[in-house]
Amino acid sequence: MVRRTIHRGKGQALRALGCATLFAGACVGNVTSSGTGGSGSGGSHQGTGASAGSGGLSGSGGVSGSGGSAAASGSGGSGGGGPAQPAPSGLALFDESCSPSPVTVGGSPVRRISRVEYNNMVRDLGLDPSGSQPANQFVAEQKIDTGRAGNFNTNSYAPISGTLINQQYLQAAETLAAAAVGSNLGALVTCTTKDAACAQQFIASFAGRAFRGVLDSDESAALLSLYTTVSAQFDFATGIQAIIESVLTSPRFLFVRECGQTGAAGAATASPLTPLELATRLSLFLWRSLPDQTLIDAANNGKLVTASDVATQAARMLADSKASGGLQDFANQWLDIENMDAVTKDTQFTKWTTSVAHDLHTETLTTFTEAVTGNSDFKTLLTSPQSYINGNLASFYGVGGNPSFDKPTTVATATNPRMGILTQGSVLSTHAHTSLPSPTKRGRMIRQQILCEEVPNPPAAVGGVPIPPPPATITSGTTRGAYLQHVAANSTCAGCHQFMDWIGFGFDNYDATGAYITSENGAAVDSSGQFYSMGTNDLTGTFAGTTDMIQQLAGSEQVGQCFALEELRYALLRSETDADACAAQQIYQSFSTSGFNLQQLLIAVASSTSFRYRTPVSAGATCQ
Amino acid sequence: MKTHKVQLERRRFLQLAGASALTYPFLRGLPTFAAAAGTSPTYMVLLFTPCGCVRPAWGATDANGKDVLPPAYGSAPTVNTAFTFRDTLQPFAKGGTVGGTTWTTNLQSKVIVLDGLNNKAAQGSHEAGMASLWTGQISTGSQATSISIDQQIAAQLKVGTPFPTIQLMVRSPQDFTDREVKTRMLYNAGGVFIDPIDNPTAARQTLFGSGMTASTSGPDKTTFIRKQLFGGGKGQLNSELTALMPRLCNEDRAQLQALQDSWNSLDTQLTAAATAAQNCKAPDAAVATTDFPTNAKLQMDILALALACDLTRVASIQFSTSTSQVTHSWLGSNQTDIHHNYSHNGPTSMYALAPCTMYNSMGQCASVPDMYSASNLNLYQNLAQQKAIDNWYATQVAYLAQKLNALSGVNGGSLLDQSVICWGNELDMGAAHNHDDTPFLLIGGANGQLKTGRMVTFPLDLTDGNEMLAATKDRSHNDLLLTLAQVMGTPLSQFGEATYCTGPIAEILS
Repeated sequence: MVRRTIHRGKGQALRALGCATLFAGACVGNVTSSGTGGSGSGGSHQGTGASAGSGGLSGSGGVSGSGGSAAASGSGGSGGGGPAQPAPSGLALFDESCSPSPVTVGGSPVRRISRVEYNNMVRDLGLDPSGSQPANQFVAEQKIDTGRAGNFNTNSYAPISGTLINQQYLQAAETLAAAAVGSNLGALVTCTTKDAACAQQFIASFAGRAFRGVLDSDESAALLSLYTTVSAQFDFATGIQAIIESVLTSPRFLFVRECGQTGAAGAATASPLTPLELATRLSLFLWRSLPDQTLIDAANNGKLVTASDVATQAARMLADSKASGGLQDFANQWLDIENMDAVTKDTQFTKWTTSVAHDLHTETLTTFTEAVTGNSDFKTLLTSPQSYINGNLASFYGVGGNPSFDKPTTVATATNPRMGILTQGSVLSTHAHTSLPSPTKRGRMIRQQILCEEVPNPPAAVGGVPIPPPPATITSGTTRGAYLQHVAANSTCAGCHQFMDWIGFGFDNYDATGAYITSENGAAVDSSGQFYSMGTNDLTGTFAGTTDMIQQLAGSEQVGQCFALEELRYALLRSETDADACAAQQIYQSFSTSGFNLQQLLIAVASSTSFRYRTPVSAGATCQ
Repeated sequence: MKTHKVQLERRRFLQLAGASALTYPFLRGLPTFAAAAGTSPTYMVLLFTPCGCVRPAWGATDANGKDVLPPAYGSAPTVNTAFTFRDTLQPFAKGGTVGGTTWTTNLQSKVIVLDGLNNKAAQGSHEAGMASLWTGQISTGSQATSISIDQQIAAQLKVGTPFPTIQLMVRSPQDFTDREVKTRMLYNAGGVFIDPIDNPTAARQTLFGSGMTASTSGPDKTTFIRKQLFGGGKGQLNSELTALMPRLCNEDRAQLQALQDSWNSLDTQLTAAATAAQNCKAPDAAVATTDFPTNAKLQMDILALALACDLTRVASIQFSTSTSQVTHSWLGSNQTDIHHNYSHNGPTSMYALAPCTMYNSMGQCASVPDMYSASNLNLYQNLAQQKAIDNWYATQVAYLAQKLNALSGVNGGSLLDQSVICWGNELDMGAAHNHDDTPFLLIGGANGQLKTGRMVTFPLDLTDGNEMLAATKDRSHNDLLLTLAQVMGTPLSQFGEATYCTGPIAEILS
């Protein structure tokens, strides 16, 4: 790996450039590359998808409430804003001076479980044998506002507003509970006496599991009392149904509650999580689901205390089949392919079908999952000539044979050059338009999610003229030719676009669907490009084409740091701050020393102080 | 003198309308929160469609087919009570077909064309328009920081209907799904998004219950369990939340408090909805579908019946999202791209539509341009596709209006006459990304408080110093939001950005 000293001032780099100066104030909001819901050729100005800007998240919120003029009772909910979200530190974390003692950790807000977590948890509770995934209909989380780098959904800063999510929780609970006692009671309730004692057993195991090992006697008694009332009115099965509904709508299920071990009043410093809290964090990070009994037992038996304890469990959990839940969720969000299945392309691309879109999605999720569980390393992830495809994709990519997803296939051939996960069809087609590739979208994704550098949103207009969208089609010349106007030296767009388009050109050999091409409209594709420095980059040179570009990315220290940061963000689901600097540096050190082994990275994240400790969001709280 | 007997009204109305039982949803008398006898409550629907429109095809001409030019700066708006819709709005006069339902009712007398208002608060493009549309707050692209007009009105009304507000969305699988400024148009007092119900099956279940009736032997299981869980603010969930509070830090408590408050609100809503459901005929259950036009009709049917059942006084319906990614393929084989892209194929500034031909000594435009000249249509590409989309949206809005028109209010009379539908857009001209002449349409007389059957053409604003934008209108849309508050019985002296508020629009108030 190239090692260069990278000096960064937090947030300085962009200010030094004309880019932010030109558009400061006009560039607002937070956008990640490529939206959801289809590849949508929304134009460079559109910036797709992604987080709400700073407004409601950070500004008006806080406990005192926004002081809205209305009596909020009419609209349901407290009408208050959420916890203030600190500006994320980004790559600066790796350069800050850090003293490991005392442990410091960024403010850790309470969050609700995500949709993915809800689905996996009800699955693991045995409530969703048909895989109906009820949470897919729930109100979405919001992307963490990370200054456009990082892409992860969370409820940490998005409070409940109105009653829709309650409706959804309630309806899902009712549907799952009714189905469970209707057709599956024997599997859920192992005792056969159909009495209060049996219900008590069920409460202990079911609620104990759902509440991640934390079931106090008061809560247990309350659930038993609920059972008693309902079963007296109806019958045993309905009593069980009521217990299930209560558990699934309980804050103990819906919220990831953490207090840490020491609850000293006014504590503003980091305190270690309790073992059960740590068990929950581990299973949410690695499985996006509930802890299993082994993990709960370890927590209760004093075997989940030290960093080394955590590392042991993390390694075990990565070897479990449930790890695919956490790994796929990461890949989906890191690479913007969550809604890959809905991507549509122009009818000229006769090879593009909904099943191709779906299979491309599977290819990338499988590739990432296998890379981690197969103990591979980051550089291989970025450069491998192999992938996981099926016959449908072999046909799409034009490689021979009838492969299947369960083992790797060499996809890189003379007629289908590929190099690693970034050249997979899912990534390339998501970051493209309906008919044309998009150097801007692809370049922006690299800039944000691979280099962890932010490019501001385009302004609404330049010189009074709104920014037009990119062409839907071009009838002569190449896409590169059409985009060069963005980056011509005298162009007002070049200030920002140089940082995106010149990277995106490196993918021009892949059309809007991600298929390999060598010419457009009879003109040869030129995929050379350049890494323009944003002031902090260790990549500053040109590249001859895709292969050269990816090899440079794979060899970059910044890229390695960025990936470590992305995994940390995914694990914490909150803004990282300077208080997380030591943890970030230790994580990267482990990552690097291990030869950038992916499992070691995840284990290092889980073992880090930022993961094992928490700090309350504000001081002055009594937290027991 | 109008009789207040429900039975007589119903029979008379059914005679007049020749309608089926579906047009009058009340089966057995009125719910307990109904308006006093002899009065009709007023209903408001905010309706959003995306991406601006083909401006020269929108609005109306005078009765002779001539374009009505904006009056001079400083003069009063021009009011035309005789007018002819241009192509896009023809469905309001001629009728149309939505999902197998064809109507020919001429609704012109119930329409107010507001040509056009200046969304001054939108100081950016799509996102700014979306954030400011119903909040009147300045946005350059970030989400709003405080309440939207529907939530404000509902909070002040505190009328006690089962739902303080109902917000629906018509969603396509192509639409963006993130919860962010492009996909949400409503806000609570804390600037947090209010999420619409985007699934007709869920909407029907939420608003009309699951169709369960109490069994003869007592309450059904679902109702009974719900009561144990959160009934009357004393249930299981409430005590759990209360028990957990002390163990959390301040900001974390706010999150749980929000959850607790929502359960209490939900309890109130479900109880009231269940009562209403006994007295109100629900819309037919429909199979869930991802088809955008089918969803549109389902959601509009649900919304119309929800108002007819007096489930709320304040509602909204959002079609797609800002920068709509929907391909309107059902409109023809020439629809091969998404709405957002088509909307960009046109003039990129108002100046292109209306070049200034005469300047005054201060360099301001002193000629009044005819933005609506048919020749301006030549400035558009993919005109057929864009007009088809605009016309389709107008047809949907007209469908909702005629449906309300055919439904009876709680005390008789046309529900549309007791309502106001406010149709707005995130943009004025799609390719220009501008907001200074944003088209708005009002349908419905709000119980006689609005003077309908007219077109109001607002004067130009020549003080903004930009003579290029010769068609900037002088009146802010904040004043429209104030007008809505007024007719809903919750008048406000300001809303959103206060400096843009000059008062409700007198030309349309009775």
